[in-house]
Amino acid sequence: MSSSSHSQILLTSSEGTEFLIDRDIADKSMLLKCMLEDIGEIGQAIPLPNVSGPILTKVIEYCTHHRNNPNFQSANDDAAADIGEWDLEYCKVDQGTLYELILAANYLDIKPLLDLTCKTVANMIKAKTPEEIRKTFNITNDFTPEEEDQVRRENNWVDEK
Amino acid sequence: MATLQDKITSALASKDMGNEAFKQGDIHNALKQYHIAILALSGLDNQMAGVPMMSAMNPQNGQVSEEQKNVIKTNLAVVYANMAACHLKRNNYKRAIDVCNSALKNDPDNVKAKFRRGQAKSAEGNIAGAEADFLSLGENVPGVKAELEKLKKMSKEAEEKQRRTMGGFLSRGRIVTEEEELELEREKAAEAEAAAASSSSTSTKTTASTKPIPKSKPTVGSKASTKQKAKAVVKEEEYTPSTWSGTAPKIQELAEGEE
Repeated sequence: MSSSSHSQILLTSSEGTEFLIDRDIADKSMLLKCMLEDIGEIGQAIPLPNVSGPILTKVIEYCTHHRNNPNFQSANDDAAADIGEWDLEYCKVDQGTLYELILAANYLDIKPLLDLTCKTVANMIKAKTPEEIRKTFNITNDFTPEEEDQVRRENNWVDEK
Repeated sequence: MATLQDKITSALASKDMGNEAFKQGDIHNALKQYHIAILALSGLDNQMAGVPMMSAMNPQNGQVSEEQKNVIKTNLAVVYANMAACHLKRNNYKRAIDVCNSALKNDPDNVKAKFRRGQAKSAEGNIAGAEADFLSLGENVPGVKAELEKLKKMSKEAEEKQRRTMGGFLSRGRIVTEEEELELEREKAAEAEAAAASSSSTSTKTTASTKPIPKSKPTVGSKASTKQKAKAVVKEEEYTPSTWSGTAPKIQELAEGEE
């Protein structure tokens, strides 16, 4: 436990690619942190069979950038607007990657990354009409015209303002 | 890339290795195997696949069948509950409660997870929380009755202790009368006697428990669970051996039973 801050951790992605990272970066993931606290140095690579190499690279990039950020753990309430510049740039990826990042953040239990990626999705929805949202996310409209009419009537408070 | 079924199979193999290590008393290795099983299982049943927008973003996801989902969730709960047994052995109650919560999130009906969370809460002195867990299991679950009785004794002792301190502080308040004091002494003497007679190993246990066990020092082996119980009681000033010696074997029994 004494020299843990300088130790390095070996991770293996789903394809078997190995990643050597510093302990403090691994600690950003609550999943890894708990594991390392429970059993210390495990003497082998930690298998992450549910994260691909490219996504793991991206996740490590995020954790490395925020490694010295003291506010890292305190999730920013609901203000979707206050995403930092670096984070904003970081999230400029295709939807598939964004989706995988959300899953990885959820799996590895990295709350700030989960918040950031989910906020990014929320911002993609914001101020869009239903038709635009469908187009953005490739959702087929499975409402009948009557159903759609009813939903609109039940929720007409949304348009009033 | 390994298929979903491959991942489940390898996770179950890790779980079995963990159980084997646990049986041999190798808590460290057991925890390691359980962690590896969790790494393989969690995230497989990603809850977000059900959200329409998510599946729209990644249409090829969603091949997880209902049956596989159930296998994943049930086994996640079992592995977490087994991890709880490891943490209980190490007297690490906070982590024990954490993993029990994770187990119950995946399978709210996991009996062992709830039982062990009750044990951990009880060891932490959270009598009300522990009671809630044991009561929700029902008295038909083996070991629950004994745990509830133990809690009753714990709360009685806490009350007793409080009454004494209060009596000392507020001399105008209700003070324990001399008769009551005497009665308590007598009760305690009787309990101690009963405890001495109840088991052959009592003498070693008594010496082990007369001084508080340091929290940081993990105890390995068969004495762990008796010690952890003892520690909870030691917190109370006026502790008597009988409050735990009768129920300890039961706890041991349940902690050993792995799935």
